[in-house]
Amino acid sequence: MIKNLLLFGAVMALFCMKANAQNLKLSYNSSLIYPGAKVGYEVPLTTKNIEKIKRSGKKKIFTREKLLSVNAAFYHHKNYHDNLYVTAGISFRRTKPSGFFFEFSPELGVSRTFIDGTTYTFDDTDVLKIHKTNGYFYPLLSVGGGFGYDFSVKKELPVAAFTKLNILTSYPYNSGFYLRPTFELGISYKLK
Amino acid sequence: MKQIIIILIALLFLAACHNEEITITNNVSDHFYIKNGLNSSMVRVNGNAASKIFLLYIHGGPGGDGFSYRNSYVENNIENRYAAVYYDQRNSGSSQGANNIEELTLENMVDDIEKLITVLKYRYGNDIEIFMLAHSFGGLLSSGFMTTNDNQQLLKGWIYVDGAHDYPMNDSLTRVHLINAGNEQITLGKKVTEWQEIVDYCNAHPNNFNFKESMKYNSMAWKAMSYLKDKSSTNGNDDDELAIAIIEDKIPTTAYALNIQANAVFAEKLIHASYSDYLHKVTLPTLVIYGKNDFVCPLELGEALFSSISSTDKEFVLSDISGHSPMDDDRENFYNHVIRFIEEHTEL
Repeated sequence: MIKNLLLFGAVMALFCMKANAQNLKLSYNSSLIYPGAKVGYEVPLTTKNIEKIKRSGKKKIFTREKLLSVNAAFYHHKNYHDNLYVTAGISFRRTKPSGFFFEFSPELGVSRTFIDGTTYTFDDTDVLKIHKTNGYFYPLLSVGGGFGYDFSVKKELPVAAFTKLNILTSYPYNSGFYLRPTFELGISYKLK
Repeated sequence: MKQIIIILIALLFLAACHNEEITITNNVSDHFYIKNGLNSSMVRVNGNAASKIFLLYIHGGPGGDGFSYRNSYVENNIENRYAAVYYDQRNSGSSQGANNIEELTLENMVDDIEKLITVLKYRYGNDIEIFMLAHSFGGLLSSGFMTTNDNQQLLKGWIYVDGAHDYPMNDSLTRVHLINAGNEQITLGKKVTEWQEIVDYCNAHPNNFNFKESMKYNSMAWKAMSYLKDKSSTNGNDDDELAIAIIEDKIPTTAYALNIQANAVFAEKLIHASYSDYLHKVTLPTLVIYGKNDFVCPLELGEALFSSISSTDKEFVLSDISGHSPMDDDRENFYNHVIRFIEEHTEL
C-alpha cells in the first residue's frame, strides 16, 4: 500500500510539472506546540466564475476552483518523534471578488516518523544494539480547512496568505489509529 | 522543491542520529526507547541513578502509562533516594509502532520487560539493583514475568500493589464485594437506587463471566468506590499533576488517549488470563500492598497471591483508607513501606 501511495505521489508530481498555472506554497506547520514546516505545489484543475442571484435580488459572485496539490511537511515533537510526510490531494477553493478565499482539502499520503531518543533493539541472537533512525512508515489521510487572502485578485501581486487547520490520521498505528492536528500559516506564490 | 525535500530528509536523519552520552548522577532525567518487534516503548528514568537502586514501575491498564506514577511526592521522596523507571508498555502511553496488533500479547510484554532490564544494566551498570513495583494490570503482567524462565533472578524484590494476577478470580471477588457493600449501603439508606441496580446485576450474573460482564463488573467497581469515596483519603492533586505533565510536554496527549482506546481490543483477549497455577515458582522477596476499599482488585486477590508464592521473605500490608491505588490514596504510608522494603533488601 505504501508503495502505491508513493507511486501515486510521483505521478501527481509529474502532472504538476506539465501543468500551466502553478502555485508554490510555503508555510509554518505546527502540531499544537510542536514546530514544523510545509511546502506545497498546486495546479488548478478547473476554474469556474459563478454568479448567483440571491432572494433579495443581490448578485453573489465568486470563483470556484479545484486544485491538485502535492505537499511535503514535517513537525518536530521533542522526545517523541519527528514526522516527515508527503501528501497529494484536491483543494476545493472558493474566492470572493474581494480576494478572500476559503478552502477544504482532503489529501492522501505517507508519513515516516523518526523517533526522538536513543533506541535499543536486539538482533536475532538477542544481542543488544543501538538502532539509529528508528521510526515507522504510516499511510496518512489529511483533511484540512482554512481561509486566506489572494492579493492577485485586486492588485498585481502574485501572492496569497493563508491559514489552515488539518487533521492527520495515520492508520494502522499500534493497535489502532493516530490523530494529530496541525496548524498552517503561510504564503502561496503564483509561479505563472 | 526536490532540493527542499532532500534537505528536509537530510535534516531529519541528522536529528534522528543520536549519540547520547550516558551520565550517572544523583539527578538523572533520561528518556530512551526499546524496540521489540514492531513496537518501540518509551522509558523514562528520573532520580538518583548513582544510588544503583532502580524502582521499575509496571503500570496498570492495559493501556495505562508509566509516567502517571510520577508526582511531587515521588520526586521528593523516591527519586532523591533511587532512580525511578517509568516504562510505557507496548501500545501504551508514549509507545509507538506500526501495525502490531498481532504482537500485543502477554508473552511479548514479558519479553519486553526482560529486554528493558538488559538495557537498564547496559546503561547504568551490571551492578544495579532493580525492584519491580507492579500495579493493577501490571500485577498480571509482572506475575507472568516472575513465573517465566529465571526472570525473578533479575530483580531484588517484587512490590505487588492491588494487582490482578487472575482475571476470573478477580471478577468473582469484585462481585462478592459489590453485593456485600451494596446490601450494607441499602440497609443504611445510602444511594439506594444506585446500589440496588448494582446488586440486581450481580444477582443476575453469578459466574462464568464473558467479556461484557467482566467490563461491567469493572465499571461497577469504580462506581462503587466513588459512592464510598468519603471512606478514602485521597491526595486530590493528581489531575493537576497530569495537566502539568501535558503542558510541560512530557505526555504526547493524542497518543496516550488513542493507545487507551486501542487496548480495549487487547483487554478482550485477557478474559481468562490467570497465573494462579504458576505462582508457586516465585521465591523472590515480595511486598504485597492492597487497599481495603478496592473493589476493582479486591484484597482477597492479594491474599491469594500472598499464600500462593513460595517466597519465605514476604509481607502483606493493608491500607485501611485506600481504594485501588494506595500510592495515591495513602501516599506517605505506601511509600514508607516501599522504602523500608527496599532498604531491608538492598545489598548496596
